Amino acid sequence: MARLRIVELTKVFGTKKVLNNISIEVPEASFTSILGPPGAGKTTLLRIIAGVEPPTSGKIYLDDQDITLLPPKDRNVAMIYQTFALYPHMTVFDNIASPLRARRLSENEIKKKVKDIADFLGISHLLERFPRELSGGEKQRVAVARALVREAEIYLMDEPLTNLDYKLREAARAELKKMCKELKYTMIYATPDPLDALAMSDHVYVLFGGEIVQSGPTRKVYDFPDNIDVARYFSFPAMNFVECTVKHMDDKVAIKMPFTDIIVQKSEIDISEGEYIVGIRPHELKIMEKPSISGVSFKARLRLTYVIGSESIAYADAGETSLAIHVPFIYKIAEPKEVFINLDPMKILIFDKEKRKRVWPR
Amino acid sequence: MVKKTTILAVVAFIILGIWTFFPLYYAFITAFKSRIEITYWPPTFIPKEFTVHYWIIVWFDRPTLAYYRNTVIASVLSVIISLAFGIPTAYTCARFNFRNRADVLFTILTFRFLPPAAVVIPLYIFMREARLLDTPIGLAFIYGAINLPIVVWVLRSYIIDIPPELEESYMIDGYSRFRAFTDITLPLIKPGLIAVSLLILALSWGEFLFAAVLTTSPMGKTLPVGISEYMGGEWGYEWNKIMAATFYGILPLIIIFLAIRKHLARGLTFGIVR
Amino acid sequence: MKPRNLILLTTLPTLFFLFFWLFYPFIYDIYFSLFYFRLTRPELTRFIGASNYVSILSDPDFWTAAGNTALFIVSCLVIEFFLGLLLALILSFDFKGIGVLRTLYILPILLPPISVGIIWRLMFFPGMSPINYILETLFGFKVDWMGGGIASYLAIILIDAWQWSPFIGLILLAGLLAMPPEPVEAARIDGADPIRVFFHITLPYLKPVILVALILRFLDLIKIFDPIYAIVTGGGSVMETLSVFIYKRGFKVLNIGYGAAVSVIFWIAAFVIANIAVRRFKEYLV
Repeated sequence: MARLRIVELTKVFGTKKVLNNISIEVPEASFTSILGPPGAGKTTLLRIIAGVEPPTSGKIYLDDQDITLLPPKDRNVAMIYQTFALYPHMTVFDNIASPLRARRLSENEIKKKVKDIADFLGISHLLERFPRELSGGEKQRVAVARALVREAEIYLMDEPLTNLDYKLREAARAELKKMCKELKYTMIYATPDPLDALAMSDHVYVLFGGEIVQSGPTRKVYDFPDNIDVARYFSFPAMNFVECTVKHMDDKVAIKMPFTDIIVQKSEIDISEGEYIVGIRPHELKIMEKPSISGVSFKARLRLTYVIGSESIAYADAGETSLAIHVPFIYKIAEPKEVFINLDPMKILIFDKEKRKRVWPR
Repeated sequence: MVKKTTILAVVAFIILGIWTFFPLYYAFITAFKSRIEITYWPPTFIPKEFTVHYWIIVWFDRPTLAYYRNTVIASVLSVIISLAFGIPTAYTCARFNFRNRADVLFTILTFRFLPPAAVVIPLYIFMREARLLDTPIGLAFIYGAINLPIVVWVLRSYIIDIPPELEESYMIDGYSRFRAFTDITLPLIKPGLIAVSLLILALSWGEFLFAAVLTTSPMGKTLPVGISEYMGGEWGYEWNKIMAATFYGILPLIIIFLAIRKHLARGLTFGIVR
Repeated sequence: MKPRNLILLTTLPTLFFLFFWLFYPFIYDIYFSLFYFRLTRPELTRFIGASNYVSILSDPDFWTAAGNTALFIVSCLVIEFFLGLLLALILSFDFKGIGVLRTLYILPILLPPISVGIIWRLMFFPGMSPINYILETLFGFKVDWMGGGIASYLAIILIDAWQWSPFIGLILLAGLLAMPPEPVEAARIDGADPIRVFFHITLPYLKPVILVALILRFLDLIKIFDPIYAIVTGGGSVMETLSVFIYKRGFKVLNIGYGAAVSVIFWIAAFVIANIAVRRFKEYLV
């Protein structure tokens, strides 16, 4: 368990600046996500923390010790690769035992520790097999076992769930979260999937094009994205964005969207007149048969729905605007139908049209 | 009902087999023929008189054992030399992206363009001064140099095929880069190592020009050179002896080859095509 | 160890080793080539500048040897390509034991070229050639393989093809096996017959592999020596290639200066041609 501090880290490959002035603080025993699209620099960042790639400038501190130039073997950092990186010519047992053997533990101790961790992860029956004989889920567990079997200071995970199928991914998320809470390890998790970050992490750092665009407690970043790009990326399904014009009328503020207007008190939403972009989460929209008294309701034409697991996403057209709506149960329609959509105006996000930054809520 | 293509394929196989193995077969049995029989017309394809006599004569006629010794030393040593220099170079050229890498690789390749005949003369003079003339060690150095480019290019290709994450993961586990190289990289390129080693061994074993020029005394010659001496002058027509000598030269290669065959099957592409 | 030091440590020795044994002698070649220098009469050594070069370049035998070498290279490449392709196609069939068969057919590659030359010398030897026997029985004529002329030319090509077609076949086979089946299947579904498929899909796909194989073979063909020596020694005439030319005129008679000059010309020519060939097809090699 340890604190990790990254100070002004920059990495340049040739002429390309892959990481630009990154500063990150990872508290003890926390689960931190590095969230970003492919190519953002997540893997490079993890590799620099692990020590297999040197930074161009900047420093890394582990519990106040400067580890920036230390070789990987002296850092006591564990890493799980996206491809699992299991050694194909060694048995599962030897794979897991590898870090222990590096530390010259006795064979008896090694046997015990490997057995323990294998039991913990449910892979004891695989110990004599070779990686090529394992399924994706099994390989992932072996990779996790190899990382956990030694008590490292920091655990790095590079998209370990990407190569798993959907169902497995859900189960794996739950397990990882449980493990983190039980073992109290410091974990840094790189992923392009916002659901991963939401489900598991305490803190999140959003990485776009080598730069941290927003960071903070996960829930806070999710609820209050600083700009449109973060809002768009850090939501699933993707957030709805609608252009609007804001006008003042006495003590009220009118947010005029193409398909409806939202009228609230100035005290509730206090922004100046002008052109903005409103962000509406699919979760905040509800499909109803009749307009409701609370919130804002408007007519829309449901085009199609599709089911994911036990939930659904519905696509509707309100006038010319296409909206995605999240439905928390299995919802299917035989043909397009006219419905009403309800929205709680206090749950919207308003972004400056030019600068794309969030202006409300502040 | 047997497919037409299958029949065609089988026929092609057989023709190919005959094409490949008949010369070897005929040459081999010629070594067992009597002096008269080799001159028969039409030539016999199965010896009427089967004799081992000439094998024995050839062995003692010349320092065959010395030939073996020299050839083995030169070949094996050259494999060791080219691997010793070539493996590290292949590794760094595969894993590290440094600025002059393309130039280094290309320069190494250009040494393959060199016709041995073009440097035979200066090397003769040099070896004479260095007193390496007529020694298998001198030959080993030259063979090592000639074959280095192959080792570098082929092994580099094999190493590139291994994901660097495996080595990185091993280093994160707590090992040095050198350990990662010996414990992860080397075992995983084993088929390539075997294929390349066999290739270099065969190339050095059978090399003729340098061996002919750079060895002078009967005790210093290698097998290819010793064999070729049967062809000039009065020996020119004793084919049984010539063939016995020839097979003394190539049988070890054939045997090694047959023994390693299974391991070869995996490294068969010689890493050239990826 | 810092990466930079590691790189230097692993590349410099190799480069040095290569330069020392293979390039340094060449410098000596240039040096010697400027002298009249016969090992048998070392006292007569004198500087003659470019005289050696002049006499070489005006010697018709030299140009014959050069022309022979070029002709030989092209002929061999063509024939070995076809034979190698045939071999690769045959060996690409997939059935049990094919792995074993494949390794067997590459045996000729590993044999010493001089031994291959000697074995085929037996096959061609006048008065007892089994090949002539077969030809006579089947077609009614014999060929004087070692008497010079077209027959000898064919003989050498045959020898080289016998030994090295499997090499090309091997590379092509690897390419064939690595080829994805989809385009071929799609073409078959579209109704194309096997011949069309072969020429329009398989062959174009194999182009980079073919080029690699041909370039590698080309680099080796420039230096051809052993089989020719095998045929020529002790009677038997065949066209002279450059390597043989150097050996006979330079080394055999210990005319060092002259031989060195030919070597310089040869090396430069080989280097230039090989460079062009490799550069032109560089993308396919790396």
